[in-house]
Amino acid sequence: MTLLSGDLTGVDLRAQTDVLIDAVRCAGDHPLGPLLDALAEADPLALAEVVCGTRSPGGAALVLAALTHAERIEGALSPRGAWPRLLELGGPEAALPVLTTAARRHPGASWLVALSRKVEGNKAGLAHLTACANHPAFAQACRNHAEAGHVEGLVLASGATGRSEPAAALLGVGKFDAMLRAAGAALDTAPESPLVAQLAAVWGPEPDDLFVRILPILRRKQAAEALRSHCRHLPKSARLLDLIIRGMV
Amino acid sequence: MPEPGAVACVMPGTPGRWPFAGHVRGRWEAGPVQIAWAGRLAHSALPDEAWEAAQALRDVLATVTGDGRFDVIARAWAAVGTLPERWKTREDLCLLFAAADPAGILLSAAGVANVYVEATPGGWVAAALSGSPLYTEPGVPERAPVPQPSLRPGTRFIGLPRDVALPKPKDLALACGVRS
Repeated sequence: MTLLSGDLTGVDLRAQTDVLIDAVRCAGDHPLGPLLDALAEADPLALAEVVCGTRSPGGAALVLAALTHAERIEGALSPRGAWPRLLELGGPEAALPVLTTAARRHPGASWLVALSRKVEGNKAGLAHLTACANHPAFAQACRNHAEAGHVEGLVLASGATGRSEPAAALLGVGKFDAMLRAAGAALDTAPESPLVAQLAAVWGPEPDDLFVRILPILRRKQAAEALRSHCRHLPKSARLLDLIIRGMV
Repeated sequence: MPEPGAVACVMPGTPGRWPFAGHVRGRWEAGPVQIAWAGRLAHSALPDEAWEAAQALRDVLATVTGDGRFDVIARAWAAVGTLPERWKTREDLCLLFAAADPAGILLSAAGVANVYVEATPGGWVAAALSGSPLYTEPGVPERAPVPQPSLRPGTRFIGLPRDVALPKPKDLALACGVRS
């Protein structure tokens, strides 16, 4: 258990990778963190070989323990190569943490779209978008998922983050019904979400007819009032919103 | 004399995630006088800020009236001149006006590199020669640009900022955000 406790004394890390891999393979329930910590400190290439190399034993325990050293692993392999490999080696149990960690580290990466589909199926995009909601690449990530047809993931991400970008991205690819659901989900979570500005920026210079179609989804008075403040030049929307607001408790 | 409601302007969006950020389009008419406009302000800003800019532009253009095509264009530029400094100092306004009365149609613009007129259904041709005073740098002009007549008859106009190409006729409506 010396190696597993992180003592690398006497091990030639490049020449004796097999010894390290065997230690991991035989670890059973013993935590792998100390060994990976020591490898990350001593030789990130050896760490990458043990975790992601062709002879890596893989497994959820190894991959989950390796996520804290993602930066070192990416230093040895390219991110585009490392993350799909970690996903493959970690299996279903580690898939979501792998995806979430990748999304936090590379919020704007286009390869996350395919990775999301592999991990989340019909909810593809949810983990990625939730992880990068406060990153400048969020809008582009929404657009990438919309273009890949990840409708449910965008709707769910809209509700999880309260952001308007998923709805705008769905509008941009012509998914009108899904846009309505995403818009409703965003406003339920964050009534002050800048939905009007973002949808108008995708739709065109005369968004009145668009907003009239959105207003029936409103469920919260606070959201209706926030929208009303943007409608001074949108007469149809303003009239309908006044009616809606009067009818809301 | 143009029919009521006949004069119209459009401006294509800029390809990208937020093609119509900061875009406005509108018109006013009373009796035989009508004016239409299409433009954009703060189009390179994020949508929230661009929306604020567009609202400010709508605010000032909502006041436009006039007694004839020259008068209504002069008043429109005067209204644009009352935009808050925050938006004027961006120097990125692109705006096309087309005003009509029984005597004809006039065009006036800022930040527009080309204007086309629909001379025949679906047939768009240049409304002004290159080098025309119609074509100026973006931004709120210090003095109202001198209005110009269109080279060819027609009542529908496209103003193209320097960074936007003329869309193909079949794509025109969507490219300009015209949805109905």
